[in-house]
Amino acid sequence: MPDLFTVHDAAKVRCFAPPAAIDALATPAGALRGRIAPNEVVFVGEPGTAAAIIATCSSSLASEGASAMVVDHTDGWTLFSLVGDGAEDVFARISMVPLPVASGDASFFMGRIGDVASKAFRRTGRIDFMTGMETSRHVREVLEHAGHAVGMHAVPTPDTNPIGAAR
Amino acid sequence: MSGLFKGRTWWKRTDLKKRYDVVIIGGGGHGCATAYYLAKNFGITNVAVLEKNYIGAGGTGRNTTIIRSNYRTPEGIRFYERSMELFRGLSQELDINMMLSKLGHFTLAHTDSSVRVQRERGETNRLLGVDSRLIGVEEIRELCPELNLSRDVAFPIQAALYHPPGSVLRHDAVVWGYATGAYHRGVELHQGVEVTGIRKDSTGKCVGVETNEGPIDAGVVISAVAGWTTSVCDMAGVRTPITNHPLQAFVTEPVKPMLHKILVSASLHVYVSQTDRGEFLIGSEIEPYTTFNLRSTFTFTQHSSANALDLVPQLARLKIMRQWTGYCDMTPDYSPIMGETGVENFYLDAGWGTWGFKATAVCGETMAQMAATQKTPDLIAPFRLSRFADEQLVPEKAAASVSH
Amino acid sequence: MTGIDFEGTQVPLQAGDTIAAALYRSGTRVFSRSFKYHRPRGLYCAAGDCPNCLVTVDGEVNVRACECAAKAGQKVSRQNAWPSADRDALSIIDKMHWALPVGFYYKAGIKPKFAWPMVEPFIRKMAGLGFVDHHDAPRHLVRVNHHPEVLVIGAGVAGLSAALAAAGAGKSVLVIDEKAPGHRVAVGETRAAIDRLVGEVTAHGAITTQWNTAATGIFEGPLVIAVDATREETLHVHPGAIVVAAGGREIHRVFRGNDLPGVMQARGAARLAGVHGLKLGERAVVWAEQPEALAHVETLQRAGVTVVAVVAPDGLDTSSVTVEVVRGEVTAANGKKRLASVVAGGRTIACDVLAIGSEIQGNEHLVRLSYDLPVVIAGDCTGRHHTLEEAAASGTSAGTAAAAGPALYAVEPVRPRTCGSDGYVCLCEDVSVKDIEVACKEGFDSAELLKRYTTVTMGPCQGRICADQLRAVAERVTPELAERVGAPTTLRPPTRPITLEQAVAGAAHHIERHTTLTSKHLSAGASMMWAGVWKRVEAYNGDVQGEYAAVRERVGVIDVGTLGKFLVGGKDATAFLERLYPMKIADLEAGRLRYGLLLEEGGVIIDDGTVCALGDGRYYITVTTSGAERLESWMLDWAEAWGHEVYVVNQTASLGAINVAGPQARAVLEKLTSDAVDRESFPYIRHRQITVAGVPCLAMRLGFVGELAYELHFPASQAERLWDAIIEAGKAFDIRPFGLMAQRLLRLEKGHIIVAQDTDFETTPWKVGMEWAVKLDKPDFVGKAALLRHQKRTDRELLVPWVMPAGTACPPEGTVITVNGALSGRVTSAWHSPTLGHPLGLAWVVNAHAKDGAAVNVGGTTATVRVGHAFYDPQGEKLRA
Repeated sequence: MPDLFTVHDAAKVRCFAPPAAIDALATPAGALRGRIAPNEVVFVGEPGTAAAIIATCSSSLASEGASAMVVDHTDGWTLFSLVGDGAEDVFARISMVPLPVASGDASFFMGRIGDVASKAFRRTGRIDFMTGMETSRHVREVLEHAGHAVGMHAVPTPDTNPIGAAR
Repeated sequence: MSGLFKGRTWWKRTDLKKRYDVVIIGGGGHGCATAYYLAKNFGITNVAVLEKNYIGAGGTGRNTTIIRSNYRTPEGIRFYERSMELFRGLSQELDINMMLSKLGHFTLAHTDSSVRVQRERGETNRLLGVDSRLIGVEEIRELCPELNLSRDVAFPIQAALYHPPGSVLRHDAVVWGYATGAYHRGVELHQGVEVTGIRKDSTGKCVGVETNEGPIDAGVVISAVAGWTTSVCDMAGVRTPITNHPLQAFVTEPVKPMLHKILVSASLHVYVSQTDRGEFLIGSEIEPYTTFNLRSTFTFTQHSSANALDLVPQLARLKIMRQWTGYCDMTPDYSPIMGETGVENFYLDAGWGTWGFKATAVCGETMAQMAATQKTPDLIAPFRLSRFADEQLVPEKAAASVSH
Repeated sequence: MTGIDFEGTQVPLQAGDTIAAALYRSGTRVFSRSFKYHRPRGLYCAAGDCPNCLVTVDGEVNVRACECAAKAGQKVSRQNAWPSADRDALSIIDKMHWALPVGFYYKAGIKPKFAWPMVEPFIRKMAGLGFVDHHDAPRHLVRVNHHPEVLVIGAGVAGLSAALAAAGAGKSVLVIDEKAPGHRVAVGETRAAIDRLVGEVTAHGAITTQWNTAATGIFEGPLVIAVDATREETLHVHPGAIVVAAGGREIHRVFRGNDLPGVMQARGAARLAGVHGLKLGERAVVWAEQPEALAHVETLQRAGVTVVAVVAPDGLDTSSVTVEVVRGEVTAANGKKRLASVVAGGRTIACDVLAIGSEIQGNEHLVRLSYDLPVVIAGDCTGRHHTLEEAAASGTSAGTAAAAGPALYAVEPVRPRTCGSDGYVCLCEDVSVKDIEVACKEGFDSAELLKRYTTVTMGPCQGRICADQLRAVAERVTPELAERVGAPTTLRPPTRPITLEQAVAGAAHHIERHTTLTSKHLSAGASMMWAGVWKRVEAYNGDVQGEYAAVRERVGVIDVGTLGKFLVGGKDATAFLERLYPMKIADLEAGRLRYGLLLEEGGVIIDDGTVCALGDGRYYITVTTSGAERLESWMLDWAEAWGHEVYVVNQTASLGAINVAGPQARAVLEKLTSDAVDRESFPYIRHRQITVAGVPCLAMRLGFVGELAYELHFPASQAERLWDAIIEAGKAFDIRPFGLMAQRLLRLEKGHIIVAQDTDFETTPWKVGMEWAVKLDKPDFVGKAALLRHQKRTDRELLVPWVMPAGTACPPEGTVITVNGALSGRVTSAWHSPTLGHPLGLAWVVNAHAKDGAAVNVGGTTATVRVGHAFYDPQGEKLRA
C-alpha cells in the first residue's frame, strides 16, 4: 500500500553555469541532485535549507561571474512523494515514462507525469516528482484517482526529513 | 426510378493518347469537376484526367463531408457560396443521388474571444446574403437538445454561429458523379497513371507531362492533387508556401439517429456529425508536424474522443469502428491557391488544407474557366499564388478549420 | 434473479455461459436482423468477428453476444428489428431486394428534386443498429502504462510458448489475451496443452499476464493499446518488441443461402458444443476442407447432435470419421428462416446445422498494422493451421527472435482466394456476389472503389469476414485488372472495439492553472474565467462597475500572478535581448524598465510586456498570461541560433504578482512599507526592490489601467500574506479587489491593446499605431527585415480607436463595421465608459476610413474614428503621479 504526501516547501535551487562548472559543482549534503541540462542542475533539499544551498552554490560558482546564476525556485514546484510497496503501480497509472531501475542513489529523470512536465527521482522504495505549482491541484487529483485503484493512502507530510536524503 | 434497374456504366478504361488539349493531374473531386465543367460549359472534351491511384483516393474520399459557406472574408464567402449554389442542384444535374442532408451547422463558441469571432462571421455572412447568425444558449438548446449545454464543464458553450444551409453529403458520390458526367461527355479518365514530370519548352512554357506510361503533350496542364501539390510543384519548378500535415478522423459503429445537426467547435478542435448510415463521424485539427506518413495515431483518437464527449457525452460507450488519415496541404492564410503559377500554361488548384471538399463544385467551374479562357476568373483572383509575396493574404483560419 | 432478462423473458444461465450460449440453449436461433435487408441471422463465427450476434446489453448497443459473459440480471435485447427479431416487419425490404440493388441509393431519389428531402428522414431512421441512451455520461477510466521488453498478444499454444522463450532469454514479458486462455477451445488435447503452458507462464517470475485484455491497435513507438473491460482499464503498452500470436479463423465460404441461421463456422460450432455443451440441432453436416475440421465432428456429437454427413474434398483423408463422407463442396443451403438442407456433391442433405471447417487464415489485423515495427508473428496467425507441435515451435522461435531484437516487420502480400458464385459476401452490409459483379462491370474496378461503392468491409466486421471474398469476386470478373482490383484495402485501427470512453481513459483534458490566491478569490465571491490556460478572476460578485469605480476613484487590487515572468542572465543576456526585442535594451540602466512588443520574423506582434534591467547584466521580463510557455522555448531557440550564452528561468509560477492601482495606491502602500515609494524616489516606469508587509518585492510602476499603480512581484508562497495585508491596509480607502472584466474596461479607456484580442496573425506595429515601440536604427532584431518591407506598403486596414455619442447602446465586440453598406472592418474591443459617458473602443477599419473624424456604421449606429486622441487622461498625469 503506497503512501502519498506532498512537500510544498522542499528547497529547490536551480544553478546555471557552463557544463564543466556544473559537472564540478558538488551536491550539498542532504540534497538530491537533478541534472536538467548540460548547463543546469537542480538541488532539492529539506524545507528551510534553500538559503544555505544558495549560499554554498553561489560561492562555488563565484569564479564564473556573469556566466553563472543561482536561483531559488522553492515556490515554483511542488514535490509529490510516493513511498512504499506499490509506488510503481501508482506511477504506471499517471505516466508513460519508464521508471529507471531503483537503487540507493537517486536516479533523476524527466518527462510527463500527471499530464504535466515533471522532474523526478527514483530510489528504492520511493518515487518523488516535482511539477509546477500552478498545476499542483490537477496533479493531486490525478494521483488520487489513479492511486485509488491500487490502495494508495494520502498521508500528512512527515515532520522530519521528508526528502529523505540526509546521510 | 428507371435508372435503378439498368446497369449503369460509370466510366470505362481507354488507351492513353499522346496529346490532349487539357491534362488534369489528379482524379479527385476537384480534378473530375474541372473536367466536367470544361466539357459542359466550354465544349472542351479533348481532356485527360490522370490519377495515379483510384478516383477519389485522396482528400475526396476521406473528409468529414461538410459543405457550407459561412466563411469569414468576403472573398471566401462569395467563393464558397457559389459552390453551395452549384451543390444544391448537383444531384439532378449529374443524375446521382449525393444524399445531401441539410442538417444545419453550428460553430460553437466556448470563450468570449470565440463569440466575438462568430459574431463577426455571422454579420459578414448576412451582409453578403448568406443565411448565418449568432444564436444564444436557449436557441441552441431548442435546435439541438442532444448537445451538452451544462455550465459544469471546462468550456461551457456560450453561443454558436448557426448556418442553416450547412449540409453533409456522400463524398464519394460527388467525385463519382463528376467523373461519370465528364466521361459521358467525352473526357478520358486514366487511373493508375502517375505524372513523373512537367515538360517545358525552351522558353519555360509548360507543354505537357511525363508519366509512368510515357510522355503526353498538352495545351494546358492543371494540377489538382491537394496533398501531393508540393511534389508536383517541384516537378514544375514552382514554389509555394504549402506545408503538408496529416489529418485524422474516425467513425463509430452505426446507431439509430440521434444527432441532427453538424457540430464544430474551434475551442475544442473537433467536428461531430452523424451520417445517414448512423455512424458518428468525428474529426479534429491537423497534426502539428509535417509528414507524408499516413499512419494512424492513438493520441488523435484519445483527444478527439475526449473533445467529442465534451459536446455529446452520450457517445461515451459507442464503439470506434475505424479511423483514417489524409493529407492536408496547408497555406499560411487557410485560403486556397488557384490560377497562374508563373509557368505559362501550368495552373494550380491547391492549398486546400482542411477546406477543400466544400469547394469541389466552384473549383471545377472556375478552374475550367481558367483553362478555357486563360484568364483568371474574378471569383478566384484573391487566391492567386502571388498574394503571399504581395502580402495580400485572405485570412480564413477562424472559419476554415478548428486549428489552434 | 438467476437468469438474464431477454426481451422480457427470463433465460436461465449455466456457469461459464456467454450470452449467446445461454440464449441458444433456451432456443433462440435468430440473433439479429441484417443492417440493410433485415434478413434473419444466427450465430456464425462465435468468435467476435461477424456482426450476426450484436445485441443490446444493459443499454450498451452492439455487444457481441458470443463473447460477452452472461451475468444474472442482465437485460438483453436484439437490435434492428420491429416488433421483434423473430417477426420483423421490415423484412419486407428483403422481399424488395430486386428494387434495391447495390448502390441503389445513388440511383434513386434524384428526381423530382423534392423527393430526396422527403425520403431522407426515413432512411436515417432505418440506419443504425441500436439506440444510444441519452443519459449516458463518460466515466473516468484508468490508463495503465506497461514497459515489458517483449509483449505477446494471444495466449494460445504459440503465444504462451513465445512468452516462455522470451523470458528464457532473459527478457521481461507481458502476455495478454482478449479472453481467458483456451476459453474458446473445447476440452481435449489442445485445451490441455494450453492449460499446462498457462501454469508454466504464471509461475515464471519474469512473465506478467493479463487476461480479458484485447489489443485494439499497434502504433508507432511501438505502442500497443489494449482494453481490459473487466477491470475497466485501458493499457498503454510500450514494449521493446512484440509477438503477435492472435490465432486464425476460418475463411468465409460464400454460396447460395450461406447467411441462413444454422450455417456456422466449424470452430464456432465446436466452441458452442464443446465449451458450452450445446446441442446445436438435430442433424448436422460438417464441411471439412482441412484436417482440423474433422476433429469437430466428435465435439458436436458429444454435445448431442447427430452428424449426418461430412462433406470433404477429394484429397482429404477422412478415415478418422465414421459418418458418411460426401466428396465435393457445399454449393447451396436451403431454408426459410432456418437451415433445412444443404446441397453438396450433387445431393441434397437435410440438416439444421452446417459447420464449415474451411481453410484457416491468420487474424491478420494486428499484423497488417505492424509494418516497419519490431514485430514477429507466430502460430495460426501466420496464415495457416498449425498442429500443436508446430504451434509450439512457431511460438518458441518467435519469442526468441523478439528477445534478440527482431527486424522490422514487412507485411506479406495477401494470398489469393476463390469465392463462390452466389450468396452473401458481406454479412454486415448485405452485399452479395451478384452485387459485386455488377459493381465491377459498372466501372468500379479497383479494390478501394469497390469497397466504397458496395460498402463491403465498412461494417462492424471491418473486413474480417468479407475482405478476401470481395477481392476474389472482383478478380474473377475482371482478371485483367487483378493487381488493381485485388490489392488489399487499407487496414486501420481499431482491430477490436474500443469505446470513446476507453480511448479517453487517463487523457489529460483541460488542465486548469491557478495562482496560489485562487481560494481567496473564491471566498470573496469571484467567478473565474479562462485566460489562456489559466483560470483568472472574471469579477467579484459580478460587480464590474463597482470594481471599475474603485480603481478610478480610490484604489483597487488585482492578482496578476498569471503573467509570464522570466529571469534572464548569462554573459550574453544584454546582446540577446537587444536582438530579440524591437526596442532598445542595452541602454537600460539598473532600475529602469521598458514596455515593449515581441515580434516574430514576419514583423507580427506575438506578445507584449516589460523588461526590467536588474543591473549586473541580468533582466526580469514579463509577458502576457497566455504567452509564457510558448515564449520560453521561442527565446531559447533564438539564443541557440545566435550562439548566445543565455539562461532563461521561467518564474511564472515561482513568483506571484499583485497590482495595486488607483489614486490612493501610494497611500495604501506607504502603510505597509518603510521604503520610499513617493514620486521622486520611485518615478513612473521604474522598478525598485521594496519590502511590503515583510515580503521582499520587485515593484514596478506601470500604467496599463491608466492610474497610479504599483505592481509587486514576490515569492509565490507569500501571496496570501501580502494580499491580506493590502486588503487590510486598503480598508480605510474602501479598496476593492478587481478582476479581468474591470481591467479590460480600464485599459480600453487608455486605448491599450490586448494581444490576440485586438491584434491578429498579421498585425505589425505599423497597423496599430505603435511605431514608437520599434527602433529601426538598431542593427538587427527579430522582424526587422519584414518591418522594413512592410513600411513600404500601404496597409489594407488599421486598428483605430472609435467613439459613439452618449446615450447610444454599446455594440457587442465582433460587430461588423460598414461604410455605405460595404464591409469596412470589425470591432475588437468595446465598452460603455462610465467616466466619459459614452461607448468607445478599438476596431479594425480599412485604410480609407481609418482617419481621424471618419464616420463609420457600427451595427446601425454611427461611430467616429478618433486617431491621435487618447480617451482618458490623455497626458498621462494620473500614471505619473
